[in-house]
Amino acid sequence: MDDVSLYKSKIRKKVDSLTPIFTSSLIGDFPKNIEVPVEEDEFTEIFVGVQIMLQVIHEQIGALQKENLETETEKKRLETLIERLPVGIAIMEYPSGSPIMVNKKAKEIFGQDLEKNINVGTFAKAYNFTYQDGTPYPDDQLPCAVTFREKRPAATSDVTINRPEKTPISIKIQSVPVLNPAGEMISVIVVYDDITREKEIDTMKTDFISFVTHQLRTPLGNVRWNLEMIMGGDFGTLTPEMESVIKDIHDSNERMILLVNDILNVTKINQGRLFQNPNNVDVVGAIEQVLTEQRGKIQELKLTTEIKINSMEAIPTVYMDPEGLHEVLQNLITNAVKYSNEHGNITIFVEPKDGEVAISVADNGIGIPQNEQERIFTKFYRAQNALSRDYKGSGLGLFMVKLYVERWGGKVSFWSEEGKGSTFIVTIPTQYKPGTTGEQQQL
Amino acid sequence: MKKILVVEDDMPTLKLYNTKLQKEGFEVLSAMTGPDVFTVLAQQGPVDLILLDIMLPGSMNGFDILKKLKEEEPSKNIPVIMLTNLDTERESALGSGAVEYVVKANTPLNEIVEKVRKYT
Repeated sequence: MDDVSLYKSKIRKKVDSLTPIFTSSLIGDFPKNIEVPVEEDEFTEIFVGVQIMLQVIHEQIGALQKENLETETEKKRLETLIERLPVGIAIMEYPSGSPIMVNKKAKEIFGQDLEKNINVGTFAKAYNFTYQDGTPYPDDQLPCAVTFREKRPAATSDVTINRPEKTPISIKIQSVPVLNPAGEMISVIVVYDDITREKEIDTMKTDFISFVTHQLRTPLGNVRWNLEMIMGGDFGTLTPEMESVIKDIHDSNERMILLVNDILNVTKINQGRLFQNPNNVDVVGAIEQVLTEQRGKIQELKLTTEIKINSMEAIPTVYMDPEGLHEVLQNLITNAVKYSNEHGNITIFVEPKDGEVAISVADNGIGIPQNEQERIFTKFYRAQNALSRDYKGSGLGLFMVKLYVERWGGKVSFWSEEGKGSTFIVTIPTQYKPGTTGEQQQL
Repeated sequence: MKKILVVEDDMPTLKLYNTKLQKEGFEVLSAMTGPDVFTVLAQQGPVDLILLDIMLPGSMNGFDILKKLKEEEPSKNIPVIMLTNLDTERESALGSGAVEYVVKANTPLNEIVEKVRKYT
């Protein structure tokens, strides 16, 4: 064998010893080590290089495996956590709307597993969601539907799930969008919380307040009537001093009656008794009635009142509880009268628009200070300049207006400037549709 | 003299009706429970008007009394004014045959006298 042939044979041998290493590496089976021939030659560097490469690969595989194990453990821990959370969690895929993960509590709340083919668009109907009074809950107003549509968090506490062969439960639903790094929505997390017990306690509280206030009416009414008889001279003539004191007692008693009435109205709204005797109510007629009731005060302050109808057609009637509408109008118009200056103007605009009637009550009275405007719908809140005008108010009037109107599916807004006047605008659907914007407000 | 039957279980309120209506020239009879109403009517004969509270002690509330009054002759023709502090029963009271529904705490006494005069 000549030198060249000998060299070729030596090379083949060396390369052959590397072949099984590369072959097994091809299928992902990296040998832990290779033996570097003791005798140094031009292949030694290759062998050392492969040896280092294999060591690095093994280190990286080890690190990856560790990382995978940690990820897997973390994933399991998270799944266990979600599974065991005391609130129901469902993850809805976007845009299909199908549930891709549902935890144990959610299944318990629904009384069943969530079916993949029922998406958020038909949830309320499929799982028999209603309001507390049994009215079906509209699918498009469920928080998950709102999040799907508007890509924003949404919530409601007004849903009752009527579960198959189980007692109905009240739930709070919250939904939040899950976005990818590009800001696109990929899924929606929906949280279902069983609030049956809280609702029961709220109901008991509301019933209790309702009972107490009803009971208070009898003695307060008796005081009123007795004082009226005294003031009316039924028991003889009063001295001017006695008359003045009796009038003060009468005014204080009236104030208590008004407060009791307002508290009763709020509890009525909270008990969902907003739609007891629905009827087609003539809006303009209802406004005229309130103006007639306020005639005394209007004349006393020499106010000008006007109803302006912004429509060529007849104003449609609204289908709702006439007493509720009267309450709302009475509060708005009484406020306009109370906070008007002498010789002031009150204009009430009525405008039908797209299945709604907008009623604006505008006055040019004392207005609401800018820094107090955001609080005027808060219960028991009264603006500073209002206190000097009328000390009797309960601070529940506008709170109640907002509660009523939002429960009817309408909206309340206002414009006001101190010293220039206020305009309150309510829009009321001509056909009642339960609102979801009004969170339950408790006294 | 027109005869008014007042059905009311709260003594101070009953006393008030008596005082005011007598001062206004009415004869006032009173009853505190459902059975009392029919005993008084049986003993004293028909009255010109009944003022009827809703929440009453015993087995009959104002609605039960109203129903029974409207079922029988001659009481079915007696006008009944429902006087109560509940503000939720207006429709059912008017639907059951009451001529007026008055929330006591929200109504001046003179207004009640006016209503009594209107129906007698």
